[in-house]
Parts: sequence; structure tokens; C-alpha cells
Amino acid sequence: MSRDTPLIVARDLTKRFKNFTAVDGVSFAVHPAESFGFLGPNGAGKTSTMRMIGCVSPVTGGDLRVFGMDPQTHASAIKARLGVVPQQDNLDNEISVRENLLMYARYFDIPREVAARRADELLEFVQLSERANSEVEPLSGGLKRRLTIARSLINEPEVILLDEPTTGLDPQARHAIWDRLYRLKQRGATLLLTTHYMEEAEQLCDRVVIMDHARIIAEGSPRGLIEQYSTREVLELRVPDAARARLRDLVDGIAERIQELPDRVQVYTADAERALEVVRKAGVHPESALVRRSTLEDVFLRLTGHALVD
Amino acid sequence: MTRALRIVQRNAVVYRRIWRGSVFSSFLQPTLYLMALGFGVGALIDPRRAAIPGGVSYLQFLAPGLLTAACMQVATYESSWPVIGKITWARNYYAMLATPIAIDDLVVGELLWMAIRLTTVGTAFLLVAASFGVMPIAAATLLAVPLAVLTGLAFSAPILAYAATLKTGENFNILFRLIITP
Repeated sequence: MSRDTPLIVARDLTKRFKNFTAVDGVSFAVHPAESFGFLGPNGAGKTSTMRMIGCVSPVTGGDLRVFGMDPQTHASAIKARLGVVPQQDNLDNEISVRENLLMYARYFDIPREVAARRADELLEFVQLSERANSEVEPLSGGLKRRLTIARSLINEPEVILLDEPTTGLDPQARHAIWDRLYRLKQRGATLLLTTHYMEEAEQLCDRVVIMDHARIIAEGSPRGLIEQYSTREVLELRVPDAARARLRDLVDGIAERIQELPDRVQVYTADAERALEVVRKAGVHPESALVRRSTLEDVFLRLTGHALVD
Repeated sequence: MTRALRIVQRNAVVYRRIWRGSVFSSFLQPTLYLMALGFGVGALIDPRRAAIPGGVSYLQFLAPGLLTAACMQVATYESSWPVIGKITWARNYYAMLATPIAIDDLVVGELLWMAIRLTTVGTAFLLVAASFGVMPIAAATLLAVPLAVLTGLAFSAPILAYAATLKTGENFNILFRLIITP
């Protein structure tokens, strides 16, 4: 395989359960040393896609190749080269932190001495060395996540699948995970992750596909998507209901478009400060006003009309 | 096949941590059965009038059956809630299946481990029964252990398969109350 041959290629990939289509004909390719993200709300089909790549959920339609192989016929050979961080932790609670890594290494037939060395290195990497001999159960959610990430690296995988790696963690633990994943990325690891946090996608992904209702609705780099689908800045205004109509009339002059949400109005413009000035001069006095840069959340809102996280 | 052995290894490592909890169900309980039925019920049975084949005491007649029952009960229990646990609660099976381990490795490995567990249960029972003088250690009684293990596996495999289809363990109550315990 040459350096630029994609590691994962999906064409019209489809996953149907009895009368429900979880993934509806998605196509994408993941290249070596790339951080590729599936961004979308819960139920968009991200996890189903990941499970098909991980060879634990049969493909219903279309074509999927992982390392050039078919998950249907070469599951074990594919899985030997993947690292998987599942959405819900599935560590062995009965044995110690270090034993979890050693045991997992056995599943890959990694020789004991190699496994022992890697386990120590990985515990160092996820900053769990001091807890090596402690039980898993008393660990916090963030520490368990870090152990799960260490475990996924025990076979030196060519691609690491991370399904919502920081969902349910507090901000501090989330940043610790991002820091580790960023280091992996810098070392040249290929990451494939799903998330419904646009901040996570922006921080970690070179390229994202945005999914909604089982389909891919946009693809590009986070910055590129923002440039293509949103404006540079956003002015968020909370105005009394009575003033909303007045604000709508002003839009033509001050913004490319506005997005009305139940609790606020978002004005998309290249210069939000100036837009705020225009609004104030026109006699509309917002209860609160926020000037910020556009994010992937705005891209998602623009493309789907609804928010990523409700 | 070596992959199935990894499952056995994993269970052995975990069992080393949790064996204390299983001493009651797999060792003490059958011993108590042996004593209660053998000495308790056995005392009420007149060996000259009861038609026990082979001219042995009621306790000797009963012991191999209790040995088999012990293996059956342990096999049933260990193939029920713990399996749901490994799928739904602790989700260990998902962790294993994310590696080169395939589902058939998993099934074969679990059954192999079950055979090992049941061999220890049957052997322990045999030793207790022997120490009471109920079952002499002989070729015939030693054969009772593998037969009991086979009986246990015959229960384990279908219950394992059934457990894999469940989300909660409520249905097991019927299984235990109506089929296993009597």
C-alpha cells in the first residue's frame, strides 16, 4: 500500500435494521496520518458507521474496505490493526489497571515481555502509572477513559477508532483526553472519531463529515466548512419578542442572514461589532449581546436548521 | 483455537480475584445438600424396605446424582446473569470482540472455561463425599465427574445462547424456580 492509499474507503455504505435505516448510503475515505471526524447529533448514524468499520456490525449495503480488506471476510485481520475506544467503557473491573492492559494484549497474541513493556509505556502516556496496581472500579470517569485509550493502543494500531471519546466527562477530564489525543495525532497516528461536540471536532480533526439523519450532509476541514457555510463572525442577541420583527427588517443592511432560535437571534456577518452598533442605533436594545467567531455549530445549524445538542 | 484459549485465560485471571464469592454456590451448597438429604431424609428411609438398586445406602445412591446436580446448577447460574453482565452491564464481550477474537472463539472459550470450572466443582464434591465415606475414590466414581461436567455443559450452551438474547435477567427466575431447583 502506498503512503497515500486510503486506509478506509466507504462507498454508499448502508446499515438497515428491521424498519429503520441507521446509515443511508454514505461515502468517505480516511487517509494515513489524518484525523477524521464524524460530527452530528445523537442518532445521526455515527456509531453505526464506526461499528461497521470495527467489524462488529455487518454491512447491509454498499461497499466498505478497511486496509483494503472486507470486514465481512477478514474481520480478525482488520481488528488486529485497529484500536477501539468505545462509547461506553468496557474495562475488566475485577482486575487491576495494569492487568487490563496485559490481558488485552493477550487477545492480540502479543508476547508477554512486549506487552509488559508497552503496558508501562502506555500507562506513562496516559498518566496512570501511579494507579497501575489499583482496581478499575474506583477510578473516575476521566481516568477510566484514559485507561481505555491506553488499552486501545496496546497493539500499536494503524487506525484508532474513538466513539464519542469525551461524552459524559467534566470539562477538565475532557481537556486531559484532548491533550492525549492531540499528542497521538502529532506522532502521526490516524484517528477516526465521532463526536457531537463541535469544539472537539474543531480541536482534533483535520477533516470532518457532518452527519444528520443517517446521511452525510457536508464534508471538509473545520475551517473550510465554516468559511463555506457561515460568516466570519456571529452576533448573538437576546431581544424582547416585540423587537424581533424590527430586527428582521434591519437584517438586509447589516448581515448576510439571521437565524432565529427560541431564546435568541443569531446575526451572521463579517463584522459583528458594527452590526451591533447598527442594531443599537436603530433603537433596538438587546437584553444581552455577544460577539463571537463562527463555529461548526453554526455550520450545522445552517445546514439542518436544528442544533447539534438539544 | 488459540483465541478461544485467551478467553479461558481471561476468565482464569478474573476468577482468581473473585473465587471466594463462588465457594458457597459451587462447594458449600452441594455439601449441605449432601448432608441434608443424606443424613436427614436418608435417616427416614428404611434400607431393607426401600428398593434401592445395588444394595447401597440411600446416601450412596444419592451422591452421584447430587454431584451431577451441583454441576448442572453451577453451569446454569454461570451461564445466566454473568453473561448478561458481560453483554449489557460491564460490556466485556464488546471489548473482546474489538480485538481479533471472533464470536465463535468467544463461545468455545466460554464453554471450555465452563468445563474447567465444572471439573473443579465435581472433583471437590467427590472429595467431600469420599471423606464422608459416601463415594469411594475408584474408577467408577471418578467417571462420575466427566459425566457431570458433560451434563453441566448440556445446560450451559443453550442457556448461554438464551442469555445472549436478553436485556434483563428477569426471565431467569422462571428458569431457576421451575426447572433447575426442583
